[in-house]
Amino acid sequence: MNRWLLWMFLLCLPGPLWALDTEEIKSIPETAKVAHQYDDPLEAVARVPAFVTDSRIDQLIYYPCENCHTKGMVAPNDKVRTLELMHMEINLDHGKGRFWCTTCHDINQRNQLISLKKQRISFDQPYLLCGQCHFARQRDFFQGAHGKRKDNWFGPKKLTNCTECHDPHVPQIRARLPRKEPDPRLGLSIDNSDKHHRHQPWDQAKEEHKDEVHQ
Amino acid sequence: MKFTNNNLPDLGRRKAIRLVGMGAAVGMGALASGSSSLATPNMGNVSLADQVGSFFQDHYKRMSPEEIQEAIERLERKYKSKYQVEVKVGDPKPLPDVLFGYALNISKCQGYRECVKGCTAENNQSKDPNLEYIRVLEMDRGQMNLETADPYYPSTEEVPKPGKFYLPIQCHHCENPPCVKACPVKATWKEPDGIVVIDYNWCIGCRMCANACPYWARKFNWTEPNLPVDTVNTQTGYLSNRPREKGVMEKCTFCAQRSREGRMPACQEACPTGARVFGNLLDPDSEIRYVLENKNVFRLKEELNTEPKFWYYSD
Ligand code: SF4
Ligand code: SF4
Repeated sequence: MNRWLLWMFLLCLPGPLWALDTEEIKSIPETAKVAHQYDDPLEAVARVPAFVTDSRIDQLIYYPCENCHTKGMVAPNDKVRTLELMHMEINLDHGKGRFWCTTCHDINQRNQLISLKKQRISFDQPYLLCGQCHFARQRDFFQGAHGKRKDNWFGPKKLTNCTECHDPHVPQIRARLPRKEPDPRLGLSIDNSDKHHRHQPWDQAKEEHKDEVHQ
Repeated sequence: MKFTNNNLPDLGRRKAIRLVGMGAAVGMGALASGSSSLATPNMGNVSLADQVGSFFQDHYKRMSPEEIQEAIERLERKYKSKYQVEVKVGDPKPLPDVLFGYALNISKCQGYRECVKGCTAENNQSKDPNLEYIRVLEMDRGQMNLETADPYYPSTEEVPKPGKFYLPIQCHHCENPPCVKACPVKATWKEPDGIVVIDYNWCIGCRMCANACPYWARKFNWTEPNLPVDTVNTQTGYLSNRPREKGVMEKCTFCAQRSREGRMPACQEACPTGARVFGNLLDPDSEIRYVLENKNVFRLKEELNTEPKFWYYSD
């Protein structure tokens, strides 16, 4: 008997949840603005402070890509595969396996990048491409809170392009060795022998005065 | 909030000393120029006239433009004889409607110490002992305990280390600077563009300012600064990176010799992660204003009411 009651009770549970599913939620008010993706990626730059970036094309080893790709030497091949003849050095570690070359490189116009909505983007403007997913970063980049302004704080603004710091195929920043540590205060020394507890220069002074009783 | 520069103290006694000194200077100057057989006795490598001139040199803020020019020429002659290179000493003035501010993104800072390198290459600090304006603190994640912060993390281990974050500190150019209040001779003051500067010729080396600074920003030349000739930056400013003497205090000046000409400070330029944002706080369209208005920012030891113009943010 008790078991039946329990079943009845459980069956009634979703009721209040369905009740929540009302017209109020379904209908979008007239005044609401639907978030929209830019039709033209350049729209993103239209309303931010004017800036320039250094050309990236000059820095690219294989550019112009067309020399091999569209001029007939290599047939377009969109298949996900292990590259064996060229570009083996590229170790695509971006997007957790969701990307392939042609996600960002235009398969028909090899000298260009391509957005998810199939608009062409220059290699000089990778911030338009990256901004499709990293839109918050893109906004910060335009406004100066991400990336870096070059040369001056005043006058025409030149920004560091995304791909100057991030390898687009492996965008994470790697750990590396820092520059030389500062000299300790005169008369003190740093002891790095114990990895778990690094003795600070002031430990030495503490050690020397440990017998003194402070009242 | 606006803080005015403190007025200079009553100068009665100083003036009197100077007048007496001036008499002596005239006498010695006559000696120096008058008899060619004596020539100018070389005191160190600096001529007697220059020695006397710099001895009686006034406080920067009381010098007329001509006197400043003379002081600069004396310095250039001195550096020439000391380093055998032409060091240009400029005197860029604060720009109107500019108040400098700095913001640093601690989620970007990786602890590479590149800013430290950039700073010492620009600012003619002593290289041995190594004098650095920026101290990068290695901090335990999840806390802001400066007691356990480690500025000496070794250059043999890769950074960033797991469980650590990095907090570079330097002069915060406080809007209400305790160092300025502490200086007994007013050798350090806040300029109209917010940069706290030191007149190295007026500093008596008492180190009161270093005691008063809560950010360990001030560095003292305990020994004769050792600046090898190939590390001298020859583009200098009177109130910023001109080579210093033993026994004077120095610190970050937001690279006044660069920033007052519209350029970025050397640490911003050297930072490979873009963690550093520098600009004009009075310009509503500047990057620094965007950061202050849109990011979670904090200042170090804010409770001390020193009003630092150096913010940290994370994203
Ligand atoms: S950080 Fe220190 S040296 Fe710099 S203005 Fe503030 S009190 Fe003075
Ligand atoms: S060390 Fe120099 S700047 Fe500092 S308080 Fe003394 S005189 Fe002033």
